[in-house]
Amino acid sequence: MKNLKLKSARAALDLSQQQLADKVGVSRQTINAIEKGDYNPTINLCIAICHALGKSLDDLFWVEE
Amino acid sequence: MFDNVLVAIIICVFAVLFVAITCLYRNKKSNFDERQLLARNIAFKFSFFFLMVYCLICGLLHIFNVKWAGTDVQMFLGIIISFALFLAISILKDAFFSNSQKRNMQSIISFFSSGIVSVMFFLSGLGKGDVLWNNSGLSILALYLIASVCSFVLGILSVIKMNLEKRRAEE
Repeated sequence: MKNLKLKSARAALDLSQQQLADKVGVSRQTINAIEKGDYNPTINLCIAICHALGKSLDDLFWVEE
Repeated sequence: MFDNVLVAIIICVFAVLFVAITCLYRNKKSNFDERQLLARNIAFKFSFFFLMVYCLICGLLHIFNVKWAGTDVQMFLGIIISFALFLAISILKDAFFSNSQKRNMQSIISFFSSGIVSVMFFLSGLGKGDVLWNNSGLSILALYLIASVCSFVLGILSVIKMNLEKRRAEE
């Protein structure tokens, strides 16, 4: 399932995938895979992304049933 | 007898020294992120099980007296193909190239240079009158050919992947 929340939060800060990847310390493809829903990141990476975007885990990764 | 033991001891000492030096100077922090490490683990698993199945098939063929290649050729063929399989899966899953641009270029250059060296060995063998298939089956010349094909395929795959990545990063 696509993570549109992450994509929109990144776009709101006017960050490219590469810039976010550099901030978090992963490759651009990994950010792309998370946004496309191809890869489920570990909790450590989720927290690092939340810190980089100034959002909470719920804001970016919680999915309502 | 004594000479053989001495040679074995010297080889062991060199092997231990090599491992110790590489452990000392290696980059302790991995350049790969968690997704890439996971993808590389999957690629490693695939190539390992390929090698296991290959060994099983070679063993069965040996039992049934089907001689298709010498033992040395069989061994190196399995190693070359499984290693190439690992690299190809890693490249396709965007897990071969690290964050270091310099290292990525080095690996592409090494793919093409190993391919060229293999082609040179293959052509020199052909010049000497060697054949791909001799009495004992597949000859070592075929090994050079397969190694060169694998190297060139990996090199071309790497170049395509790097160009695609550049284009996507610009988007």
